[in-house]
Amino acid sequence: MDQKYAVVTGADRGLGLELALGLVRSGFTVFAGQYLLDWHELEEAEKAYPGQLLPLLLDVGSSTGVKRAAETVRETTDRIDLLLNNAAVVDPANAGKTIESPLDFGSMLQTYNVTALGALRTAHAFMPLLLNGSGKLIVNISSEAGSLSQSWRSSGYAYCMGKAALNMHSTITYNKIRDLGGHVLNLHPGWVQGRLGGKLNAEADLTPEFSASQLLPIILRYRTYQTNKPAYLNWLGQDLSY
Amino acid sequence: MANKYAFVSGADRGLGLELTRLLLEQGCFVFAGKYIADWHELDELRNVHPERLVPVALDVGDDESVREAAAEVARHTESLELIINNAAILGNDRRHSILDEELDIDDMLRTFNVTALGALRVTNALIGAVLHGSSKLIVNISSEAGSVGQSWRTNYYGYCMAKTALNMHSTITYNYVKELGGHVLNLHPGWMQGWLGGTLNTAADLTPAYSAERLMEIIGRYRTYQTNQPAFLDYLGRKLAW
Repeated sequence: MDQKYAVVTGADRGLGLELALGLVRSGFTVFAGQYLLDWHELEEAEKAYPGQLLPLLLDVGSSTGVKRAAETVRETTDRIDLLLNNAAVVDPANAGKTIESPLDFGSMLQTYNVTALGALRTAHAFMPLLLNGSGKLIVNISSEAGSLSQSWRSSGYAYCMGKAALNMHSTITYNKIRDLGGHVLNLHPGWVQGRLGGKLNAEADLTPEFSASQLLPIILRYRTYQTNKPAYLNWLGQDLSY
Repeated sequence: MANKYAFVSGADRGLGLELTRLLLEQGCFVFAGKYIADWHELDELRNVHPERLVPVALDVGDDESVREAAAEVARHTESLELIINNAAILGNDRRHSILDEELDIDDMLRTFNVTALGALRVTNALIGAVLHGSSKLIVNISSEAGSVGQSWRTNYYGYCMAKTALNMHSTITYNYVKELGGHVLNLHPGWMQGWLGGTLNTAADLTPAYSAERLMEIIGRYRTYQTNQPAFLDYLGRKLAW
């Protein structure tokens, strides 16, 4: 059986690292996107899986950075089977701010640049490698926060806009690659104890390990979810509505 | 609508100018956002309604410009009955798909800044005046291009994502203002012979004047469309999917 390759963005810690480890244990060689140079969990994890878990410098907010990362991957392999877009930022500067509060639009732009455009940059840069592979699968870690029909918040503008725009671009991409055998999945991982806002939110429902353990079987069974639209599912495999 | 104040962004020409014209004919006092240098249709309209049309310099992509426009409104009135967020750009890169090397993702940030954040800046700056009025109505000129559920394109990434983000932020705003009697309408004006792409699009179906008349009828009946979500309608009042 041919070696399978995956690229996972935002794999320094939290959900991204757990997904990368889960994929390695499932037999993938994983290029693990590294952004936080002062955080060492990924380097530690690499020791347990030498040659299978490969740190890859990757800032999804930078077009040149993403292109460079794709070139680096191409030095090792001419194909990948899975692109897992996990990297995101929330918008701490506007936390809790409503339409009546003073809003920081510069911070919103930065949030959108990473959380919406990051996954599009990687899809674009890695597409030739992805179409060479057998899986041809893009998985985006989205969020219920990006669902317009279930929108319940009165703050959190930039994160919600970022995830909604992520969902939107994933449908445009899928419209193009579907006939080439491509697949796209948008997954809501649950409310995960992570560092999306910089600090650990210990009060959240799920650990990254648990969420990853629920998402991985869905990812590995991706063919069962494909319809004329990218599937939009939570960690229990339940449908969300756009 | 007599003795009532309205604010329209992107009023230099096309749909924004026509909506301004109709509001003036209804007896409204209109603050009309002026952005394009060397374009005189708004000045000509002012000759017809010298007392009630106030052109206001407005770059919705710029924090300071929006603040100054809001200050100009405040010099005239404490209450606004209606904001129409119409100003938008298509983005420079429309043609390219995910398979094209030339896909310009950085350009999409600029498109987002105007076409999505523009409306949020204006609403944020004028929300006090809107909540002071009796209608408390925010109208966003959106597009079927922003519908994730009906997404059919393989390009126009920047514009589609921005209109989805516009829809998303409108739901967050509505979640807040509905408790205070506020209303939000997202309207798709149809494919118009307008200037959105920078040059006049003569191939399109509808004139801006026709679209503006249909939209003003819907705006006049805004209360009939409000549910627990902002209405997302086309120029004939038909519901669009998120």
